[in-house]
Amino acid sequence: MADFEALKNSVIDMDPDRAVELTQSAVAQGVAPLDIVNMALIPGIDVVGQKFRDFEYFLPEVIMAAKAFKAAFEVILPHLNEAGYEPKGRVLIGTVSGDNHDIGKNIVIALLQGSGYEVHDAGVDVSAQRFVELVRDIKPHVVGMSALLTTTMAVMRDTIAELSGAGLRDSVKVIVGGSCVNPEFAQKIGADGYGEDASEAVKLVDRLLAV
Amino acid sequence: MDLLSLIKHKKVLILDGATGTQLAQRGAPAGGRANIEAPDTVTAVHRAYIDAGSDCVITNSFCMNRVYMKANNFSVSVSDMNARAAELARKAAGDRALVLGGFGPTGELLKPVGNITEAECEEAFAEQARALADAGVDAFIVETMMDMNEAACAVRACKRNFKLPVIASMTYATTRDGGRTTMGHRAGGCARILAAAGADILSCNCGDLDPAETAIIVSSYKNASDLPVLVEPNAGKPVLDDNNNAVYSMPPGEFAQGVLECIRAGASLAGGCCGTTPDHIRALAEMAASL
Repeated sequence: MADFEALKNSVIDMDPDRAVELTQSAVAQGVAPLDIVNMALIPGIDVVGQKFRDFEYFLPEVIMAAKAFKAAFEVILPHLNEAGYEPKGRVLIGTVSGDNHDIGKNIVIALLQGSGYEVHDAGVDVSAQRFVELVRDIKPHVVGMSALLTTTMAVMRDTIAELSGAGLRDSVKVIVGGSCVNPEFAQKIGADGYGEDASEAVKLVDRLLAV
Repeated sequence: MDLLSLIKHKKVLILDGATGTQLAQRGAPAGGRANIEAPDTVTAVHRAYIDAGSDCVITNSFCMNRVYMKANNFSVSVSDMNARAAELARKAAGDRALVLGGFGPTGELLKPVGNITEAECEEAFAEQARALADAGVDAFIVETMMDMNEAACAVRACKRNFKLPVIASMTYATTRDGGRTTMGHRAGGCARILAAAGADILSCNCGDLDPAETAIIVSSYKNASDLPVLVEPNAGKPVLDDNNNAVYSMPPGEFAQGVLECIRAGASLAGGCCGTTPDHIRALAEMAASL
């Protein structure tokens, strides 16, 4: 029996070495790779997100916990591929133009990949036009936009308008996040959803794609 | 008169307000690019603040260090950019106001959380300090820091080669525990670390606090240190306007009343950050004159 509780705690405790060791042992015992993610790693990150919201954890703890999550996930990834798992969906994600903050975006990417999504990282400073081009090329099911600076939030609004103008709005779900964004803003600009933090973003994508 | 003497002469020393929104209103690009593409507009913004009552203006050189400039594809050198920023501020200030050479974060987090070493960080700030000092700034101001260790790197980089006074300004995410940054650093700890690094003035700018809440940070600083304290709050918290743009809309009078709380808590220098205008600075100057 794999020790999901200990693995979950290794993420909460920001301990990548222990996370890797426990993941390897679970894989060796024949535990299904996605069970390891869903029953230990994601619940661990959920706790980290809650601690961040409660001002118990701060940015360094969140980043180090995400590193533990990622280290464990890298052990699992080859086994997922081997087992022929189909991705749950395709997500395009980027930080909007004028903004070069990628810490939050990268944590969301790690968690989406960890929970079985194919993720395309558009990077930082992505313009509305560039998002439209990428949506056309990659055909994602979900587009995620991130912003830290209040001055760049308008790019989210503009991207949704450009997607509509290009006739692509109905082909994708649009989600937004970042420390300056709130649910009211998401609703006003016509986004399909808002994620308070990375684990909420994963739940939001699951909900939007009904997986 | 130099900055530290001026503080002793005035009950409240008045700094300037937001630069980015003022540049945008006049149709100029944001940030350092304006120094190159719209230099007259930069000078006009500085001048508007001095006319409104600013004793000091801050050069338009926020984040114009090599780490940030490289990540954001600037084609100008660090020294040219900062020299230009200092010249534009000096042109507006003449001998009517002091010019403070402004620093912002590198945009990278320090190891092991991030990818940059303290030595690399300090070197980047030292290079910027050299350019600003060579162009004749009167003092340095390090702003919008969420990591006290990065702020300390900048303070040390300034103090290593120059005798000019240094203001060190942190950005807080919450008033809990007397104020904590996104990195979790407490205001009291920041005060001690920055004072030990050589800061002459402690400060709090931007962040998630409104002007009156900033008084909590001032108290934390004053409990930990005897250094003078500057506050540069935003014009309240951002709200959405009719076009869904996030704007800071606290009116000048209410802003000045909030800053008054900070002065009662012990601050002796005041200015503004995001969303503040020459009108906010005028309100501050009037409030300060009435004390």
